[in-house]
Amino acid sequence: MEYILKTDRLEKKYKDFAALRGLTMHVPAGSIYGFVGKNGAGKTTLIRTICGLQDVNAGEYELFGVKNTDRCISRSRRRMGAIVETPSIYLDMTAADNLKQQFDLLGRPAYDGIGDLLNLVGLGDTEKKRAKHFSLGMRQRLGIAVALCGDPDLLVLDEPINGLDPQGIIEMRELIRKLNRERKITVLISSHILDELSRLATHYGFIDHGRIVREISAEDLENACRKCVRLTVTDISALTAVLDEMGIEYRITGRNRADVFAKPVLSRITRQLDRYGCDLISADVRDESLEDYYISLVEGGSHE
Amino acid sequence: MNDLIRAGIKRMFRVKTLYVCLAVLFFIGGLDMIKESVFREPGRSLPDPGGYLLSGFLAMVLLSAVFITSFLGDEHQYGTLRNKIAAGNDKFRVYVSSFIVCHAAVMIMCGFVWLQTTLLGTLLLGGYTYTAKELLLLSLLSFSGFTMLTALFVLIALCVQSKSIGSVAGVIAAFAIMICGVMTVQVLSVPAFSPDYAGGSRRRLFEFIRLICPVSQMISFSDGMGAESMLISLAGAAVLLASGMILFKNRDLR
Repeated sequence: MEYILKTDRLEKKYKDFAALRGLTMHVPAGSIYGFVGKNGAGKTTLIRTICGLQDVNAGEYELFGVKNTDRCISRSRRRMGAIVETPSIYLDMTAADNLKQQFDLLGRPAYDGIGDLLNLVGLGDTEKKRAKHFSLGMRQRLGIAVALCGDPDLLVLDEPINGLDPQGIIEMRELIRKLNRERKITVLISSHILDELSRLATHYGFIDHGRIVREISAEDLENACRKCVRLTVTDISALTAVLDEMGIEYRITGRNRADVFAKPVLSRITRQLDRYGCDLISADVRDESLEDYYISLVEGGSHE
Repeated sequence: MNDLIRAGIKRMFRVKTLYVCLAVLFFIGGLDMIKESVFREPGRSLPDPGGYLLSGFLAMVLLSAVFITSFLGDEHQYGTLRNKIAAGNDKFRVYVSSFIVCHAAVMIMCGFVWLQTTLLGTLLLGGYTYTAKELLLLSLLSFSGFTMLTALFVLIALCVQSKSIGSVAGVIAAFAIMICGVMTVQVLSVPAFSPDYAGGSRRRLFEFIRLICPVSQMISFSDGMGAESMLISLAGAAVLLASGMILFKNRDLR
């Protein structure tokens, strides 16, 4: 798999507080990578680091295959657009002037495309209105337009839906999807609003106390969170033999435990297990949400 | 770096602060000259425009602090410094380009003071009594002095990441420099027979301050220390620029 961003045991300390403690993560090209963690887990610190706003104390990262220790790292950042915490816009300028400013900064000779960018983020009709009179959602969208000025391959969004109203959240979600789908932009999006992330992300990185506790694709996560019946038996080989015979999908989750992804007729299974001299100890219905998964990760150690 | 400078210059002309500073300079110098020529008492001789030139430069010490800390403070406040770094520029380039843009703005103010004083002074007050050599020396001293002051205010504005704290620190520094410069010239101009005359090591200290302080350099520009003062100011600017770059590079940006 091709990775746009790879970090390897990153460490960052602010005086006595360790914000990153050996953080290792991999952002696949073309993905929407949901970076999940509670406040203070280290999400913004990582984003600041890859944006070049601060240096790390140990470890390294690669952005578009260029190491942070390489002199060319600044140039590889040209392929990235970012919003860190708040949108970086001049509040005393109009939306168009903000984009002109960014075009100048990037050395783009003409202002072609500014109208298209404004239309893309839904700010085509703001005309002479200064950004300080914009709503929070409009500022966020202008921030994204500024980040898109350099036609980036990677868009980094730090908590982009914080403070948005429901309509703003929907618009932001649609915009991110559109950018990923139509412009093939890889998106790294940090959030602690899990429900919203679950509607967007194709990959997840769960961070806690400055470490990635698990990286998982949305597909695998969906499987991990599927509704199932957890069966505990005295002999796991007997159970697998029975389930195979019955053609039931399952996953072994422990020495004498398996998750069964169907509505099994327990009496039939029990009868079949009897043939192998195996007892059914318990059967629990499990229905795990992304939230449960996250909590089990950060509070319960490893997730089985 | 050229892109950073070009973008900075364009923004400089887009913000109101520069025009407000120029308007203040007009009120301090131009309007006063017009008033002086219109309402002068009969028989009273007209003042030398050179005095307006100096008062314009003194006002510029404060105005350049206000402009630079406001202009660069906005970058901190709006978070737009992040755009510059994320657009592939390292902190060194961001710092140097900020200095160049701010220096250009201060030179525009400087040019405005010169132009206004020369035009109105010639038309209304009858022109300078300063010699051409003195005027050239004053212009060179104002260039070197304001280069040093720009380096100082850029250091404050970029290394203090709060616009309000940076602005207050800049204005306090500007006032301190102005008071120190004016006071130094006053102390040194006391005649030797006066009881307030500063002698010995105290005098040497004030002479040293006069040598390094841009304000006292400009006020006492005709004392024959022009070249030395200019070199000291430019060296001071280089030291401040280098220190600022090191501080800025090692700072985590918000």
